[in-house]
Amino acid sequence: MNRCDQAMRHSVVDTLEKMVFMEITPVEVRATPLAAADWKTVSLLIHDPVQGEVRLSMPRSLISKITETMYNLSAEEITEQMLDDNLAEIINIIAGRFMNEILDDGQAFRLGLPELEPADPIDPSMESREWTFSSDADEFTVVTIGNDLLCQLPARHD
Amino acid sequence: MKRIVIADDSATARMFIKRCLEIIGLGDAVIIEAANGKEALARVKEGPTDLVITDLNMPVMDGETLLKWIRANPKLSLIPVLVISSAGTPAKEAELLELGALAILSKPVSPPALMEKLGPLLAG
Repeated sequence: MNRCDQAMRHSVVDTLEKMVFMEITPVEVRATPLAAADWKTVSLLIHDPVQGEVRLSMPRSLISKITETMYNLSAEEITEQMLDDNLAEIINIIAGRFMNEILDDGQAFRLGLPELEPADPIDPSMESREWTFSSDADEFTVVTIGNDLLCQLPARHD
Repeated sequence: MKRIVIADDSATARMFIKRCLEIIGLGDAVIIEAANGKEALARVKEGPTDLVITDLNMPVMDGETLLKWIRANPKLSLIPVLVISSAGTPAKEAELLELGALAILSKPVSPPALMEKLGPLLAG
């Protein structure tokens, strides 16, 4: 496991466990087809000091579950806008934690704004890495795009 | 009655912050919402404001720029500004405090965390 694997696992698991007390498990091989009809995707660009992109794809049902828990709302109260806002919030937090982990201590970074349902597919000429996680029966994925976000360095042991 | 401006591009986050404010005893405050820093600055200028709560990462004008504009205006410079961040580093937090932020709060916001940061302000 390299430094980015470790950082992404920490970032995703910590974020969702702390936000909504959900048990999140990394999955080696994704069983659910990506971008199924009921999945939502959000993209976030990383501008500085490295350049890349993070994409988060989640089933609608899981975003709804997270939103209900986070805001203490019933399923009937959840709107499409809340799901979109929350997905954007989650990618912001995950990307922020990920950058904090892969950069040297305290180094500043600059993120873009979350873009829901990015129009462009992942550029096949760009290096990318996909991580899959599960929460109960739901799987979701995080993809990082760009060489700088792949970390060829070994994991830190601190 | 306190007048509080909340700046966040997420309507859901604004709704949640409002709910947190109610939980910590600020349910009777006049809450004014803004979707970005520019809009928040306009709302702040409209009337005496007791507190600004701003997200950091927003379109049009981000939270850091809003903080700088508030601090640069002699009529507004004493307004406490609480910055909420989802992706902060210790260096960035130190920079924001140096710029005059009341405190930095990490997302997701919770009523106890908000209470902790706003405690001295509420007591006063």
